[in-house]
Amino acid sequence: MKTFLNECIARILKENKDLSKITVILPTQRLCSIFVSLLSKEINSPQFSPNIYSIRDFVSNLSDLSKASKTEEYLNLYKVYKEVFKNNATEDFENFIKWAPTLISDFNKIDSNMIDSKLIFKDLYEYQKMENLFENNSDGNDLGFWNLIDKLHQEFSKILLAKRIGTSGILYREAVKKFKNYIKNKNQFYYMIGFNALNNSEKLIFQTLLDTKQGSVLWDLDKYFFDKDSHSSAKFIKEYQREWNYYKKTPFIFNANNYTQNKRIISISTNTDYEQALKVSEITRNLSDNTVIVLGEEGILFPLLSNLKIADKKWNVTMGYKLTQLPIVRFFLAYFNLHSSSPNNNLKTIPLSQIIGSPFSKNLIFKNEIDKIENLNRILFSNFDEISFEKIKSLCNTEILLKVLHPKEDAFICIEDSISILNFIRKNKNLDEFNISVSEILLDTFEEMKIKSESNNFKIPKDALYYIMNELLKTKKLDFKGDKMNGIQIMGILQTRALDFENVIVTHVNEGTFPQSKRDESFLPFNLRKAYGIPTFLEKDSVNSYHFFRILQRAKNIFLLNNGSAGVGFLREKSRYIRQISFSKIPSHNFQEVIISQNIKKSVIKEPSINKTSEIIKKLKYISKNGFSATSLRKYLSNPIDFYSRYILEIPDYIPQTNTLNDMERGIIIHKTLEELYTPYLKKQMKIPYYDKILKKIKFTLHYYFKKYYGNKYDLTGENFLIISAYERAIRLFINKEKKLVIDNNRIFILDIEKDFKVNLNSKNEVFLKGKIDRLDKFNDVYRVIDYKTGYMNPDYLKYTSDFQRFKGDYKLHNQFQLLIYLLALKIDGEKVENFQAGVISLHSPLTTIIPLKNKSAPKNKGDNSLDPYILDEFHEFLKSVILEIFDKKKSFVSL
Amino acid sequence: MSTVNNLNAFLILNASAGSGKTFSIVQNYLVHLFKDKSDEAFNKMLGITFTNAAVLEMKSRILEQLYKFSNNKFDNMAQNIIKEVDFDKDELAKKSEVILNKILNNYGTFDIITIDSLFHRIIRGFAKELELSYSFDVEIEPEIVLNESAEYFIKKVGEDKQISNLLERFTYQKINNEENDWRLKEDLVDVGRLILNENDQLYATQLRKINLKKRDSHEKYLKHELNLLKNKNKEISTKLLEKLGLEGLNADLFTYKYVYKELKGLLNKDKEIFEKFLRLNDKLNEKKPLLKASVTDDLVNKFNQIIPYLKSDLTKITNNLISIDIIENILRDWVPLTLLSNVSSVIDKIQSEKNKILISTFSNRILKQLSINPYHNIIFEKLGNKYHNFFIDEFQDTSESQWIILKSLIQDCLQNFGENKNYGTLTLVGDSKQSIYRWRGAKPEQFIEIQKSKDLLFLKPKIEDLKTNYRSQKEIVEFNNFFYLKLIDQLEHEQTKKVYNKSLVQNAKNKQGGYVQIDFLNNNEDIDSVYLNKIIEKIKISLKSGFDYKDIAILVRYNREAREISIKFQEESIPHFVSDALLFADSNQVQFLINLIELFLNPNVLSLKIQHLKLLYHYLNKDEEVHYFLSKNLNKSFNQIFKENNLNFNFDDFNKYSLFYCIEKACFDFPWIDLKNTFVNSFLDKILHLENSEQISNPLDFLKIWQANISKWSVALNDEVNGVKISTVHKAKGLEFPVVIVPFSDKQIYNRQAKKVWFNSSEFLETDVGYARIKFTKKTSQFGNYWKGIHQKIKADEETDAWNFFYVATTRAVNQLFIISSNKNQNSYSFSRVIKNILQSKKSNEEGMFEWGKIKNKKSLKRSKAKIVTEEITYDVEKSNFEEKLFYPNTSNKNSKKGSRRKGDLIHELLSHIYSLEDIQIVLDKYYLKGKIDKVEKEYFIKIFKRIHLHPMIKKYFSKNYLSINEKSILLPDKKILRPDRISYDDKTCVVIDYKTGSKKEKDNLQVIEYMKYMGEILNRETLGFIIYIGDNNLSVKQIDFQTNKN
Repeated sequence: MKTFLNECIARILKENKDLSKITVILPTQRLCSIFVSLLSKEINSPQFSPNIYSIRDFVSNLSDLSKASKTEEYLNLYKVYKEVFKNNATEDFENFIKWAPTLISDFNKIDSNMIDSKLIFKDLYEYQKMENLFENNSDGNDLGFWNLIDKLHQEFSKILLAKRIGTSGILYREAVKKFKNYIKNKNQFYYMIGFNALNNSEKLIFQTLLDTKQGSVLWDLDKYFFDKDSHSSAKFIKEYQREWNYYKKTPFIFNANNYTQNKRIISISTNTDYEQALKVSEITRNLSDNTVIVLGEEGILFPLLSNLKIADKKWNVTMGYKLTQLPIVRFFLAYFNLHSSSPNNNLKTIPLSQIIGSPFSKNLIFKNEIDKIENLNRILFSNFDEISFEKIKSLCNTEILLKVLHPKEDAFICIEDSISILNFIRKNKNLDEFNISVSEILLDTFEEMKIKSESNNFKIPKDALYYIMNELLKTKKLDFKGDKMNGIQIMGILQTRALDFENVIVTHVNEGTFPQSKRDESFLPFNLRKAYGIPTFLEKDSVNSYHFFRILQRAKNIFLLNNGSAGVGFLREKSRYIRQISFSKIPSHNFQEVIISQNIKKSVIKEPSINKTSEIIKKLKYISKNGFSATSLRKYLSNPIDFYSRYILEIPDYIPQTNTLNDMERGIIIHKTLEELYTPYLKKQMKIPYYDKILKKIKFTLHYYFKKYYGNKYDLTGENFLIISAYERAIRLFINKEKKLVIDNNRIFILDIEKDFKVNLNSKNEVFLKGKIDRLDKFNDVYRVIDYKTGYMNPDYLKYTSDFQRFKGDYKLHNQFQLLIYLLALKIDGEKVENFQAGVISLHSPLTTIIPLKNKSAPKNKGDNSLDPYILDEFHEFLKSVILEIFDKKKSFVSL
Repeated sequence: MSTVNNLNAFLILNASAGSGKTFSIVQNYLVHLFKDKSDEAFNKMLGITFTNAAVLEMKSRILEQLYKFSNNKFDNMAQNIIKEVDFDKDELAKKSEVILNKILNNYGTFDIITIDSLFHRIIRGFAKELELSYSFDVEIEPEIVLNESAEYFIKKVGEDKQISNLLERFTYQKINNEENDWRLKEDLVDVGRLILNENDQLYATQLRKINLKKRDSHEKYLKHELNLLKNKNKEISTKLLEKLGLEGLNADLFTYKYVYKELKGLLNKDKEIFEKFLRLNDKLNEKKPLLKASVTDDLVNKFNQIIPYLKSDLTKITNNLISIDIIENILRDWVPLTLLSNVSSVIDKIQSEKNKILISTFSNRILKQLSINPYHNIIFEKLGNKYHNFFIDEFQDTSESQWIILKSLIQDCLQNFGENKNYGTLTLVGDSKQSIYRWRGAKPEQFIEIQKSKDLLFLKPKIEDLKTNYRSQKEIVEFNNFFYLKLIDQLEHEQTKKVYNKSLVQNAKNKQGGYVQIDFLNNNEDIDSVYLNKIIEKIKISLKSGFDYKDIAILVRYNREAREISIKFQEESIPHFVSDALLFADSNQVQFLINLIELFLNPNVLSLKIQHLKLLYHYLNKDEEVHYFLSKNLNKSFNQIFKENNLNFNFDDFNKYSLFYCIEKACFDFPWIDLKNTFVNSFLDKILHLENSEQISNPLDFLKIWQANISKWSVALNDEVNGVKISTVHKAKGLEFPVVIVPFSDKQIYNRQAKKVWFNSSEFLETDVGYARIKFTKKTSQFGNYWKGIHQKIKADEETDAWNFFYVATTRAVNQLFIISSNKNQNSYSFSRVIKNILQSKKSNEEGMFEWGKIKNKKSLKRSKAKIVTEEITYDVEKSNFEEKLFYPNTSNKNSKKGSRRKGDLIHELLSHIYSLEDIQIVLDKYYLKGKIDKVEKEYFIKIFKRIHLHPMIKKYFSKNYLSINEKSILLPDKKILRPDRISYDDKTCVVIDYKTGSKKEKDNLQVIEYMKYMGEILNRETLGFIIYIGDNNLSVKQIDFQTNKN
């Protein structure tokens, strides 16, 4: 296969003896070095290389300006914006940066296409005026923007030119000005190689060179596309052929007719993007080095690399490895964000929690301050927007923490400190080789910024720092080593310009990527752009189409991967290019469509069942002697494996930390509160004044226990505040209800509260039951066993039958089980429980006083809640059988 | 069949299921294309559908038709078009090819899009006007935003007094009402949903306009009214009881203590008191004796005299009870609705903070823009397209606001002349029987209304009914004709009858074949498992008659039914797949990975550890005792456990690498994770996407999003799997399957759950307190005519939706249709009862099943060979070591050297621009200006560079007598390229000059000698060489002797 560049070199060597007399202009910097290497293969004796420029460098040379960095563009535009708009410049940097890139890109389009900016901005103003008129809200403010935009453009150019820098548009404008003189003085012949869509400046330069016979333009376009009616790939070149004077006299020469040669083209639909990486890896195993992998979306690079069979072949990755997702970079972004967005001595909690909450900082920066960090984190959890630095300082004042969190006076100090933090991290020696490389890039970046911000011309407003650094770090990449000339090349579509490969693999051949979605970000309305010849999405589509089909021209094996899943959201459509190929009817193309089948095997993992080893039996005996609690038995009944985890392995239930009191914590507070409220009246008959005293103490007691138990963990704000005041209300309602009962001449006698019990279930073996009864009282003549519950209690769950097997696997009956255990314990203790009543007082239904345990088969409306005398005996037997089962070696702990 | 007689400006196609809807709309589209003189009419045409799948199908069909025509393949459609456009075949073929080319090369203007993407485009085009950032993302799922807004509010408690008070009061109210759940978050999230849900938006918008103060006074009014009513009732009852007592009519005289029971109940605040009064009223109205038979005539007379009073009092009480109920009902949602405007602004705030826009806010945003901008046609203009021909598919699914927007956009275009003096056109295709998206805002009545109205768009629509069924085979078409015709008599509401009375009967295109079977299961305790077995039975029948698993679809109503079937199929190893129900979370492998992240974040949580240990025990196939393995490892760190079991994974990686890197590494490191498994790589895709779009920045972020979406994230569907498709009817809309099974066809037609309903309070209360929302229960429907009306509308909607659902299900089948019903719900209005009623006239076969057509058992069906091949990824996946091989080992450059390296590079860069002494100042000024060097550096460099230029040994070569080139490349045949720092030459001599900033090294000489060698060759002159060593404060020049070194 003869590549396009080889063809060009052959032609150049044929046409020229002295290479130092020629200048070659190529679309990209990367191509320049490739071109030189290729050229050196074709020469016979040492000689001076021709001048080789990328178009960008060429233009920069011509203009005698250097390209401003993005940062420089933003900062200067911001400065100019403030100056031009004076008091009307209301936007802070955060808002400014939302529209600035669009505006700069509009400026670029106007400048590089040599459009009279005065005219176009005037038209834009008229257009906006018309729209505003329609909208009937001519408050003038908005229009002011459009009125001053020309001035903004002029001043922006001025300020950059004064610094000898420029946007790419300015570079073009200046280059064109100087171009004619420039070429007169140089005795050079120019070759322009591999270009397609040109802006007006380029058109002028190229045409001038052609017309003055000082240059040739070598196009890379297959005759097929040129001849094919309306093929968008040929749009621009065809236009030049039609319109340029030079081509009216000189015929347009085609060297290539490759596209219609034999080709194998396979379109492969995958289910996920990740599968594309797998598939590419599979394909490359059987391909030669003369292969390019074009990544439609850079995001897939990483999965691709980790799946390639690297050892087998040589590889070259053109795009670098993006750094923004690395924890170390995230840390610094959060750091800049924190100081950028915190105006006073207050710190915003969101970036702050990103800093101190991230595992990276916990393990690599604050390793020695981990307690303080956790403490701080808890506080952040409950605060909302900001926290004062003073508060942080009072909690933790180690050097490194202060270095990170101390509010910074200005951007310079912020950058300076970032360097010392970075050095601190590097000194810790916890970084691996990869992260050391990354930290070096960061160091370079920060140091460069430091030097720059020292000079007066480059003042970074503090509120801009985060955006600037974010923008900057996005562009930083870790380079791969490789060989541009040999090995399988991995690159983006733009980097394939003017290159050819025998095997071409392209990923993400979906609409939206090939071509890119038609997102046109511009302040210039579509029609205005059309009228002034500024490219719109239509032109963008043609550019994309050119790049795509160009790389296929000389290829033999083509693999087009696309994501074929019908996911949720916006349309994921196969690229139009695949349709174009399949409809193109070229006989020598062997086109095939393949779908990767889904692999959706699911395996079922069974919980392992645990055999009762002697160790476990020993533990069980210990538990038994200590006493089984109602909860532990319930746990066994609802799921034996849970019992095993909780009581044999002693693993506490996992309650994820949130910023609100969880159920267990609520329970503790409420129980403690009720205990305290009733304690003074233990063994007493309740009287109205007692209730009045209790009522006065509710709020205080609740708050006291909240503070005592959870004051460090939670703030009494937000949902916690609501919870506590809701319980206060509920307790109040409940106490009032009880008071009302007493007023109505009922007698309530508090027998016991939080009564501990421990009874032997089976006197032969030491099997104890233990627990605590919330409250025992006597209501008129009825003894009552009462369990408090903070949550809702469904009365149906307290209806018992003698079918105790129901307790197995059913957690809903927990309270019923518990009450039965209490009664049983009392009975074993010698109480006559037959005339006892048991029930739950739920604070979720404070007006209901007591929800009784009752026989399911008892008639509905009968007030009789007394117990069936036999039930406890049966229950006793049932429990014994459960205990037997627990100790039964033959029965493993299984999962139900 | 010709659907397009002339190019009417406004055409409506009534397209029942299977009637070639896509065919017609495509043909219509093509006719417009061909009629136009230019070959680019498509860029004036806009096709709008509702789903991505429909977009794809329509696009493909248009392109494929054009391709066929251009290859001289003329089908039915071609004939129709030829007739319509007055072309001959050659012309059609030729024009097709041209148009096809044009479309493919201007695909960006080939606009067939979903309504959502159309709105998306408009919003993007008007970003500035709508005060949006230029780079917003679209968010489809509102859950996270809603949750955050609710949390935001709750956090405000204690901060914002007004909100605290409201929320506190709301909690109290919940306690007083003894509601089961006090949590506010859900209520606030619900409020957010009201703002986003189209069905509620109108009311929500109105409510938002009422400020807190006013709401407060309204609330006070309502509470006051409530008290008043309660007191009134108390008063009336007390008086009435007194009166009865005075007359000697005591309770014992009444059967069942009527009257007394109710009045006392009222005073005792009994439950269900309204119902009791209602019954009493009925009794009174029916003039049934309330008094016991034994009561004396005297007392009966007394009672009869009282009856008028009694009646009027009871009516008063009942009316008051209604008012009380309504007001209490209103007050239940009062607080959350009061917060509407606050919640709404928080939702806006969160969207703008996240730079995201919820898709459900699209319509409202556009409506806002439309209302301030009457010149709608510039909307399209601004987007760069101007449309003349509009095609809207599935019109019955359009919501009210969507239609308002579309209407105003289309209207303007239709009224304007096109470039070639053609009127614009509008084609609507729809079927009100297939409207099943009411819950999402669809308003199917619009499609019926628009057909009747004559003045919509000032145009009279031409209406065509598509009568032929192209999809289903004869017996299926006939069954559906039979069934839905009979159904009309069974329907209870006019609204539904309107939907089903028209254009029901279809002609089958296929004159024979097809099979329908309806089976009734006996009611049974475990009917669900009977259903599941029946489904399997039906599948076996289909397989036997030659169909494949992938030909079969089971259509259900709820996702949980789909999952139930899936579980059964898993047990029975029936290949199948479930759309949107293949949750990531269902995969054990994904669970394992999630567990890993949780464990990293909570390394000391034992319950997580034990969970993970169990998984490890399973995967590692340990043969030791479980308890031993667990207890042994419980207190070890996982890094240690991994190591002991030869697993590479290390938790420290989470601190150093991106989450994706770590999880992917885990996939390689744990041999039981299969990267080729679609669950696993979809999961990885998700993480990768979230990371690349910067939605997450650490594992904790991810876990939060995961938990919010655990029951949503699912594996995307790929049609090519060979398995039974289990799908909800909603997902199956627009699709067809050879075999369709519709199980569980015994549900009630009406929903039992109470609905929340909006109503205008002024229609009910004396004071207008704005729109109110109440829970509409059975009780509410008994409150009188106004409420009955609402009730009727609710039921009518439910009926329509239920039958539409069934209609869509039964019309998907091509060859075989199985309906499985049961005897359940026979006593109420249910699918089972109606099916049974309709089938009464039919005879069942021996097994009690009803059949249309005959089933034939074949070996296998002839099927056209698939164009598209299915493949598996087969190779063995393993982790590459690319990090080692492909990254620069940057570590060799130690820090200490960094400073001087920069300086060295800078010196070379500066010198490459300096040719003569005069250049020094200019170049350094420039660099200083750019901020690349500071003042000190500048002075330093000027000084040192001047010293170079004036150095006695080389001064001469820096003069104007010599031509100089800096950093010029020298090409060597097939070798590396040389680039000497400076070459100066005149006619006789050539001088190579190299700058060095480091210490002197032997290889420096060799390098310069190489330069000299080639320079001599190229320029053919005597060659000298110098190395200039530039130290911090010193400068030395060394001449290289070519000759001596050469030897």
